[in-house]
Amino acid sequence: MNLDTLLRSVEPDQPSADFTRKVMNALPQKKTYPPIISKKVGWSIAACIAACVAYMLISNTPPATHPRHSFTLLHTDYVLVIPILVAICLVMCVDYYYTNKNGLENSRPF
Amino acid sequence: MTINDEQIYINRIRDGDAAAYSFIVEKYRNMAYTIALKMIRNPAEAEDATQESFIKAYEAIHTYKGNAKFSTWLYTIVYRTCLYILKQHKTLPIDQVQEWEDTQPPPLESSERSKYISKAISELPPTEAIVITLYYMNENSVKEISKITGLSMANVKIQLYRARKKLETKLAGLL
Repeated sequence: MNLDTLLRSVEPDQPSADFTRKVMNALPQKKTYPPIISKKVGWSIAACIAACVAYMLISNTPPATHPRHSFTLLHTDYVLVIPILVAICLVMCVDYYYTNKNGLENSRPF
Repeated sequence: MTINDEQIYINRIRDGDAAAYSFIVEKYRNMAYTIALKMIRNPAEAEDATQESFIKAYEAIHTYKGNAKFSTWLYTIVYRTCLYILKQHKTLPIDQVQEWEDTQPPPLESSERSKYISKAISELPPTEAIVITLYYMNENSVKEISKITGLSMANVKIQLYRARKKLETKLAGLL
């Protein structure tokens, strides 16, 4: 018999019968992080943002007829809303990141 | 299990379905264990090394890009884990040659003959034993063996040639 044929006929060794079970039991459990923002709070924040935007649109904002005039908005109270919105967005992004990382689709606020 | 089925299971594992990993373990456990046994040469330690390799593979499965065969990627982990264990224990220096002490006539029955050949392969230096195992038993190409072991393709061919020569002498009774 040819050496190549002989070597191909060798069967692989077998580990113990409960090998698969042992591996499956030893698999690390993924850490689960609770969501920073719950579903209810998430919708509340979204509603608040929508309300703020609606209020800003409805209220008497001076029409910016010239590009120079648009800078006058920076001197109004509206500019204070921007950092708050940015902060909320950041918190939501962090929450989204951790939720996705752990595959917790159901715990996502949206 | 086809390659497509395998990819489906890998995607499920990536999505957090740990139970899908049992199919992967079932498919590759024998070959992974054979590689570990050929290197470590102690059944209990080889099984531990194989188990450790499967856990490492599970943890790193998101790094598997699908460029190479999954088996090549997995066996690379097995090979490196065994190398690490051997270096830590220093129980068996790499490429230490063991003497062929079997003076009994070669068996004729299929299963006994398989064991006899497997024993002859195990008597080879570990690198040669791995190369022969992957090339003949797992039908890996020289390129794939090069990826798994980190040896150059030329070196893999040399190891194959040397191992064949030794096995020709050892298994002369069966040829």
